[in-house]
Amino acid sequence: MSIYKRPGLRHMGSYQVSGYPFLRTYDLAQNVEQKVEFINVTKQIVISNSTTATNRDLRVHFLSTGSVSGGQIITNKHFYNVPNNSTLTIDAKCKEIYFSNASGGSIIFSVFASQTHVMTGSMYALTGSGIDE
Amino acid sequence: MSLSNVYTAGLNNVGSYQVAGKPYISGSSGVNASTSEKFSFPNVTKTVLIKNIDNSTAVRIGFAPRADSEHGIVNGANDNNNYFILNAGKEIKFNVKCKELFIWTGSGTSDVQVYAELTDIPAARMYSLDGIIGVGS
Repeated sequence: MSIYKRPGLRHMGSYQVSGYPFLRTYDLAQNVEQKVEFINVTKQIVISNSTTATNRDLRVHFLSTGSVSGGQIITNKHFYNVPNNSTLTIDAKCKEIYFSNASGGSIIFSVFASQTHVMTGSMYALTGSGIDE
Repeated sequence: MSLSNVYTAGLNNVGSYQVAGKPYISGSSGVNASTSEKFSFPNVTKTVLIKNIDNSTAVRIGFAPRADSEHGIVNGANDNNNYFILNAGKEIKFNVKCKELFIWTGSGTSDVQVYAELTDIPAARMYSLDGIIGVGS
């Protein structure tokens, strides 16, 4: 009998090999939030705000602004802006990411994630300093 | 001694992704909205760099072709928007293991260049991404 053990969250080799892809493009209306859930824990995320209109900053954060402590995300600026016609690459382990649009119109953006084979159930909830504090 | 068993690195061989890869460069002009351009890599990639060298038309990048059943792939990328938009004149780098890549446009034609850093892992070692959520389903 063979027993296959899944790699754990801190399995180093899982982050050293290149990940398998997740790709999706979204059209995000003004004052709306989009949650993106990954299939496995990520090692890298690439975001492209392909909107060409100016003043269309896409906000990237790791917790929903609608969560109990979500107000802190805006108040304490726990988000990163991706301006129109630009990209952002983040090296991070996570199982979900949030995008919001407080700009003057809709935003078209794409997300690529390099995913490990670490199960999302192994990933802890992100909270605290730098997230929602 | 038999020479019939030639061992090659497996898909999850860490060292294969740590050493610098061997180069692959290709490109295509006239990338359009009706047929996906397919780039097949001879080995599993460790990174892929794509440049849209057109000055007006964005391209769509996928790990499945645009439409169902194109290039022998059952599940296309368009159904669930499983593509990445790369605007004209822009370049993007993905840290990804794969054996093929597809590029098309939403409308109009465009030109692209593709650079991949290849491992020595044979492409046959890479599993199919067909039907995987986030690729094509």
